[in-house]
Amino acid sequence: MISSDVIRGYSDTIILYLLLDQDSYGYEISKSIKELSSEKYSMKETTLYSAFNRLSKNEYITSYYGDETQGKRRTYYRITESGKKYYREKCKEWKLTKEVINCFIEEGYDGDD
Amino acid sequence: METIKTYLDNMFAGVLQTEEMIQLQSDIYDNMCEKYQELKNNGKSENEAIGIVISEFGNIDELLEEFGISYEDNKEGGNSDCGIPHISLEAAHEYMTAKNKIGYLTGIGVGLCILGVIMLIVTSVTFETAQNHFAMNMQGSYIGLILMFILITGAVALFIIAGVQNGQYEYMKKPFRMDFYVKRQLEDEKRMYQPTFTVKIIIGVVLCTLCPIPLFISSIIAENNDLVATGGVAMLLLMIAVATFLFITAGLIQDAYQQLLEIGDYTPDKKKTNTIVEVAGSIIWPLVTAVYLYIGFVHNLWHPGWVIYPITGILFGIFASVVNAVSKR
Repeated sequence: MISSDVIRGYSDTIILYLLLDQDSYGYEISKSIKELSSEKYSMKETTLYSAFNRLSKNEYITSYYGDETQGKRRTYYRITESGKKYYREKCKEWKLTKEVINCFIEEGYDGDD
Repeated sequence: METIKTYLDNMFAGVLQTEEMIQLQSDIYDNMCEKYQELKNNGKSENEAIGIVISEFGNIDELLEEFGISYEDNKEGGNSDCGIPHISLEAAHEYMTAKNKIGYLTGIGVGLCILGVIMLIVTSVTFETAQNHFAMNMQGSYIGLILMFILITGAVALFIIAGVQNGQYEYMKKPFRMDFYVKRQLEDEKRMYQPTFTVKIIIGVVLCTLCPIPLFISSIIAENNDLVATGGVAMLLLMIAVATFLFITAGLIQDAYQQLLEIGDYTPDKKKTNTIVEVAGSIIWPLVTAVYLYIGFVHNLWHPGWVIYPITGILFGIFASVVNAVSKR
């Protein structure tokens, strides 16, 4: 089980990563998160939409209505240039964090092997 | 799907329904439905799928915090919506039923008034023609007058009952809050009501357009016969009475829906100006009537005196639009 405290600081990063290649909408993003993490992590709706709001406010993403031929209009999200910049910063930050934490993690201490 | 909707409505209950919040709730709803559908396609039972979807919803406080809304504020009426009444679906339906009743009371009242006028005309003309020799013209008029006043008294009683009923819902004129699903439900009901409204208005307009026909017919079939001509007039008035009844009942329901959904004349901005215009109207019209009665009785100027009504009507219309335009800015 993943501690949600650690991952919360990176929910914005996760969403931005999924928007790098193409625009997407709520359910597609949450599905991709589950799949890419091999079902180890699934983002709650409230976390997802809080992140959308935060990212929009900071102008890291923009939203628009897709024109679906059938059914309801979906809200699509697109990453902005400053969003990409922010993503790169977060990647650097994570590498550093990982290095720091790794200094205090003893391999084989968790008793898995 | 219904379960998801109910769950979300409960989660968002008491949250101020801004445009932003309605959009958010609708996005989350679509998202959850898609997830539910896919789980079911992957062979999960309905209960399992619902269970998973709801367990993955998360914590509403996280969302509200992000949007800068505190749940307690909304629930206890903390700062922004202090004292703003909250309209439930039951309250909205109760209001609609009451408005329907008020519509019928007012409509019947107006009908009785017109019937009174018909009575007056018919009785006096009947007496005039039938009892010409005995000089009983006056008696006929008196009986007509008495009948008319009895009917008008009945109408006034109905108007008072309707007015008292209406007074109970004064708070609807002020701003209020309503849950997302109540609004949706009422929008659906309004849509269902539209055909009835249209039919009633069309029948009313047709009756008004056709009402001179009995008059023409009566003058064609019996020239110089007062009794038949009176029948024509009575028929004309009767058609107008029915049309008015239809306009009032249909209009009041339409009006009530607009009020509940805060559209048309009842957008939060307009609510303020409506009160100003209403207050002005409640002073001006009785005043005009008093002036008319004065110049009529004292100076016997009934005939050219009536122009005071159309003139006031036009001036009042101008005044109302000026108030509207000013308040818009």
